[in-house]
Amino acid sequence: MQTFDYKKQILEPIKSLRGAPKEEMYVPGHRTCAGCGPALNYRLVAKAAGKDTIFIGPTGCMYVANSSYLCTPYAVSWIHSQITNGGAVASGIEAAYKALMRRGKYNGSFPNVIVMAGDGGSVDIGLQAMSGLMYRGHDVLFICYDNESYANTGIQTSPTTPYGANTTFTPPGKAIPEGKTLFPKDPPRLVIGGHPAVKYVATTCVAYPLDLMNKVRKALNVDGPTFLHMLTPCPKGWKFDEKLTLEMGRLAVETGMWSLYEWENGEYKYSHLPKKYKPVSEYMQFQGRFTHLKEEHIAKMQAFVDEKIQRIKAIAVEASIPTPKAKA
Amino acid sequence: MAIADRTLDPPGDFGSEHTDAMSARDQGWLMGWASTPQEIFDNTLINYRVGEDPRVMLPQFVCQDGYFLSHISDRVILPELSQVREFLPPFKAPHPLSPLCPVSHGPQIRPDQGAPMDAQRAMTFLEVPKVIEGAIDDFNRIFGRQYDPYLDKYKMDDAEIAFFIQGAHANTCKSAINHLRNQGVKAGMVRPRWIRPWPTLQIAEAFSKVKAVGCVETSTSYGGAMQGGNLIHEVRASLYDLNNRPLVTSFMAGLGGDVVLFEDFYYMAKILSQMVKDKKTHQHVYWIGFEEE
Repeated sequence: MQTFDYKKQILEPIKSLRGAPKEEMYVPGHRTCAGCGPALNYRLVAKAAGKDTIFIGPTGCMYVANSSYLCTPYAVSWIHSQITNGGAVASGIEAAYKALMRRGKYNGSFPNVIVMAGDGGSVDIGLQAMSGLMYRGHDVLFICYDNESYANTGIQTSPTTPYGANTTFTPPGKAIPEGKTLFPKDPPRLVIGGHPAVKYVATTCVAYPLDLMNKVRKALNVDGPTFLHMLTPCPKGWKFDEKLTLEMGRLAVETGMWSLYEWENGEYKYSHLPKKYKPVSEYMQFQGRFTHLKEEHIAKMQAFVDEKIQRIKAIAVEASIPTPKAKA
Repeated sequence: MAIADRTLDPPGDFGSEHTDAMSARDQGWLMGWASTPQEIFDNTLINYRVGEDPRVMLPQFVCQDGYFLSHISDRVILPELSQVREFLPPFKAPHPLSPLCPVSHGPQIRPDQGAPMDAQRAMTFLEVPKVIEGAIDDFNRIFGRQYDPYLDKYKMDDAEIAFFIQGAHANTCKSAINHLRNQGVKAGMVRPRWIRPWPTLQIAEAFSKVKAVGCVETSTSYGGAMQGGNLIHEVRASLYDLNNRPLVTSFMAGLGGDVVLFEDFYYMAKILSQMVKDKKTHQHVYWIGFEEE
């Protein structure tokens, strides 16, 4: 992308939860499930992003359940996109604002352009458009809110559904006792490994709201495409008691099923690393999507997580092609 | 290809509308709507039989109303495997991709090579009706149904006004016709089981004695000739050569997945009856539910 000196707000770090902005940019009036992780996540993201924001909402729970029957909870501008093209629509909006500002037709500062895509709309059916946006280097924050299924259509498997999870398309039975045999894609590494224009990628979890909001602000401050992989537990899809959403988020981090990190300048920086990891069974025991698993399947999951934990220390994923420095 | 139709975005709408599949009807596939789950099942077998016939070799759209048929349960008689084996010959792909006999599928062509291919496809479609007739004969015999090859005709023998309607709302239409008949209205219904190939002669014949035809459109053709849906264009074309052409209008109903009520059909019948009285088509399209009654 050509460099252009366009006015952009710089969002300050939030020092404490009490110090977080009081104003809600995601207000009551949506029809999400009780305990919905993605809805809480949306509220935190919108709060961190503030007024000067445009959301793109690919089809999914955060579209259908949020905007059912013409009522929406968005206090900022928002547009629906197809589940396939969140990246494309955001690219167009970003390019349009840049064109308007270059021609002196828009006096405000460059707005936050944020895609709020589910795991399907990010790395499955939405992958093509997302990758295109990352490749072309648009100044857009692409969020993958991960509830680990195509939840809106009744919980179908997606590429981030964990091994062994029961979904309507991976039901356990005699032939396939674990239900899901495939291990998931790794969205952040997919973005990092293949897109030289991307400067900042991070993972978050709704159970760590301060960490989450600051990563949103940091990503928005970057000039260029950024990606957040955000864990958003889903009581309906994962089949746990709706009051345990945050508990599931915490256990995901404490067992190593989910890691909190930032990637920038080729470096991985981890936070909230457990001193001693809890066994994955402590996470899986609360979730009905795993109750059919036998010891051997849980052991397989534990081995997968153990390997991930080993890799964390030794990580050195190289950027695929170094990006030439922009002329000053 | 099994298609449960759905209203097109934007914005998101889970309801049934035929527009999505209808917009593909020029692609050269066999195509038709079922009106019951039983018919969806039967049409699937029939389409394999017709589509894979060596005289045809065309892909098939087996369509049903999303939600109304795809997501609502109804009784279906499942056949015995032996019946299916009798109806469906084993499939032998004429030119399989095989190391044993190398073939190329789909090399690039010049524009002047394109026209003959299109002509070939058009010629193939002329073969389809007789294959359909043979298939339906066998299907009815083997499975004990009574399908007409092309049209589901309801109380058409002495009908003065008639509905032309495809898909699930035809069931409501039939019940509405029963009520209308009790009121002394000579109403009937023609439901196409295929829209590709379009049964031109059969439709002309079915409507030849009718005074007014109402096409119930559960799809849109914005900016189209009749400013409503798609069916009216081909129905009117089918009737054009008749010596005594019936009056033809259309009714936009069931769009977006909206339910079509008995009252809607009674209203449509009233309009058709008025057309007969006035010997005139006043409007080519009526938006049901939007107009003052």
